[in-house]
Amino acid sequence: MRPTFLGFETCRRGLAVNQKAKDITGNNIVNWDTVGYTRQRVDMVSVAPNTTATRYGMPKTDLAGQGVDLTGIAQIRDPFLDKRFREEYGQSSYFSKSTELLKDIQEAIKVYAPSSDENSTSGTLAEAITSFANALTNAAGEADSDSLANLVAVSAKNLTELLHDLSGRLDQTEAQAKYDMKDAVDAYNSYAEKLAAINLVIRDNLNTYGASETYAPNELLDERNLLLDELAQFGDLEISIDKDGMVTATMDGYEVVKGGVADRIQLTENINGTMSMRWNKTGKAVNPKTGSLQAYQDYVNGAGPNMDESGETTERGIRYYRDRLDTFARVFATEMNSIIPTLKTDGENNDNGTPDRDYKMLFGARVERPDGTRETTVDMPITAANIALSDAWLEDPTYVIYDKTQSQSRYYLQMVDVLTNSDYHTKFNSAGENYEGCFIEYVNDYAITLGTDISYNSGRQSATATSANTMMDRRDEVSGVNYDEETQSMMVYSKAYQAIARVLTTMDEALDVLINKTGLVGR
Amino acid sequence: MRISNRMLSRNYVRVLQDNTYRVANSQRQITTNQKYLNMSDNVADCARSLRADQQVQNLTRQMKGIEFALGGLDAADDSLQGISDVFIQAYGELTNAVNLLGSNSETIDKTKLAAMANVINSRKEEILQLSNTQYSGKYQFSGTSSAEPPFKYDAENGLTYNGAKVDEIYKNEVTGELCHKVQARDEDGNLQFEADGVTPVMVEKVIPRDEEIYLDVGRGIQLKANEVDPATAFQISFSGLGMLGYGTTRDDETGIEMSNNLYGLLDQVETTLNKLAGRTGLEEGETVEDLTKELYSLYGHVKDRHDSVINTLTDLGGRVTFLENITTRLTDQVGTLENLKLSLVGVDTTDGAAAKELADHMYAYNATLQLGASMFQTSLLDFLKV
Repeated sequence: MRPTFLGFETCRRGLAVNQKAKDITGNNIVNWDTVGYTRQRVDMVSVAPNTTATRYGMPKTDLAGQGVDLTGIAQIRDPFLDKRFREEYGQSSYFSKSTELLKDIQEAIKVYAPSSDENSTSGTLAEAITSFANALTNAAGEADSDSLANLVAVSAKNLTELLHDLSGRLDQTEAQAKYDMKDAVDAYNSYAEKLAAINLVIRDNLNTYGASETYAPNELLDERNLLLDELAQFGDLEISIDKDGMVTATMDGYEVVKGGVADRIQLTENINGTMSMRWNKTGKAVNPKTGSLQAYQDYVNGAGPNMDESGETTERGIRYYRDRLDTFARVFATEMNSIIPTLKTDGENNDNGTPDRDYKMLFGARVERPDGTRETTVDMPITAANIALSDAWLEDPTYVIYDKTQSQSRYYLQMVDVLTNSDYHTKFNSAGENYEGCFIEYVNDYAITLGTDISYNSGRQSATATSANTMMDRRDEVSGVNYDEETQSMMVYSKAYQAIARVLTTMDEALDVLINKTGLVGR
Repeated sequence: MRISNRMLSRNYVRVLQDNTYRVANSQRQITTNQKYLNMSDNVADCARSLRADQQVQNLTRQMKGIEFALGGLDAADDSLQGISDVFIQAYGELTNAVNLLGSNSETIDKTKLAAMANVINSRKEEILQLSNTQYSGKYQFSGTSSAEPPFKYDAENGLTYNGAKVDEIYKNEVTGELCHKVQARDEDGNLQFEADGVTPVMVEKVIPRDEEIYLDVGRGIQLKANEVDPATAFQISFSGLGMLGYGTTRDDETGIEMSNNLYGLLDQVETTLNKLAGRTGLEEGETVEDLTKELYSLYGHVKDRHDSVINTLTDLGGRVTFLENITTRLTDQVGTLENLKLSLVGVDTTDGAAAKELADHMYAYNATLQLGASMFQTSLLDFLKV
């Protein structure tokens, strides 16, 4: 027999379910732009009568029509799209960071600035070499002139000062990159620990509130997915979900987060200036295949083909471009110091064509002696940071004149030749890379190499960013909120609510007839 | 395909930022006339512009050198012309003297001869002064010497050039260098003698500070063992020895050693005239007839030597013309390269292309803004009756 108030119970369930559905619709609408939010849906099921669990067996028809029940609030999300997005995001982050680092190098060492204005000046290395060559050419016209020799000295000094400046700015760039790398590692560690913490919360929620794989605490899942997205920018993240609802995250096959435990990255600066990242627990080196941490490692430690110390990488990074600048300084000093012969004391020159003749030392390394005074010497390695005019030239700007009793221009012309003549093949030998050409061509090659590297990385960054955006769009296709859909759902639930209310009214009227109007005859 | 509001918003913002960047970039290009800020913006165009820029620098250096050289050549031209004019005057006096002697050597007007000798002396000194002319602090006919006048005269050594006696200078047939013989010195700087202790040991030395000076005129100047390869550069120096002459020539008929340089020749003419005028005494065995024959020999030799001055003048004129033509060519090349640079990395604001591009980007930017205003307002929510 049908229970008297079965209908009311049916309507009550219906009202509750539709109210909850409207709540969830409203939740979706207000969270349409919340970062990481996944749209939710109400899963309803028709209540099935269970006639086998009663004390007495009853026909199914008596208990039929018990209404609707809420099985849970589910997220609409595609884990496969998450995985694809994180892969693309890692790639995009790598090239974004590498482009940024290379552009910082370009800003620091303005080797060349494109200009169609013949009168523009940009303080670049190419310009400084040209100024020096111009001063030498002017002096060649009156090779014994003190005033023109002074101009050559000024121009040479400007060149060395520019090299100091470029080297200093490169040092600043490197320091900033290392600082940013430390920030990135700290950020990674923070995200990893938060992921471990939220893993535990999700597990407890699943255990305590009887949630299941399908109906899990959605907001916590969203938060965890957001953390996973953030972690993906640092490296090649692989995710697996355990039975207890916690995730295990691996990077290059190494478990970085397992359950409620996260392994931190330790960043140290080695004696040779390279940066190394190691996992705290095992001490193994951190070697993600992609991501911003790998970009930092590649380009902060990048020595390119001139790799000759431990910790360096094969990418053309800060160390490579500094090495090339130092090579320029070293070869420049060596070549300039091998051009103007010294005169014998009796006034005759010793320019007799023999290989062991002496030359005027024009440039050297400015070093500090043990007693605190400074001297310029060729006995120490010459770099862009320490190259300077020789002590003799600093004291006497006319030191560069070969012989003050004659206007011998050929040494000035030879210096110009070495600097600017493309037929001149000076050897620029670094640890691994060799270049042959004049100085201005070396600087050209420097600028072109850096420009090409930036152009390549920038192009890859655009391409991978587009892919990442596409993946994000596809994720949003599935899990994003659409106003029209939610409004339509809201209208449906609202109408359903109204309809159920009408049914309830009908039930009430029917019961009213039974209670208040039945059996009144004779009263 | 399902479109979510978050996707719309995100993509809209991204597109708006892209359009904003394009507008800002176009504005920057127009205001700075530069297409690119850095090499990485367009490596190929910037690399080509870089090479063009350096070619322009090289050409500009060459043009400056040519400008300086032309100034020097102009001054040299004036000096050479002066030497030629003075020499013609001296030659005229010598011609008069020869004519005077030709009439009757027994009744020579010695007063006139003495006067001619004085004129020759004046002209001779003028030639010496003109040979030591300076331009911008450098002696024009001295090779590389700059501290002292190249030509000096004293009674003991006669005319010297950078310390070497001009009449004793000769050309080394093997090396082609002008040389002279000097007494050798040992390692301590002491003069060396033969075994007899009297005869000096003589060694050949190159004339000091007489090297050529070259100019880079775009032939791809090369240096070989610190020497400029003459085929790759343009010589702008004049050796005084080449202009005035050096060494001596023996006259077969009279047997006299005649100086090859103009000064020495005129000096010999002056000496002969002074002897004929009776101002100085004849040497033992010397007769008036001998002196007359000597004067005739000198007369013929003087005319030949004048031709060398004319040849130097002609050569100088040719060099000036060459340099002026080179300057025109280099100027054209610089113009071409500047145009190339403009086409590669510059923005030509006169042809309207840049302005049109900016207008296009502004249009796209404004359209994006209007689209955004309409896109985010309307949805089904707006059509519900509240």
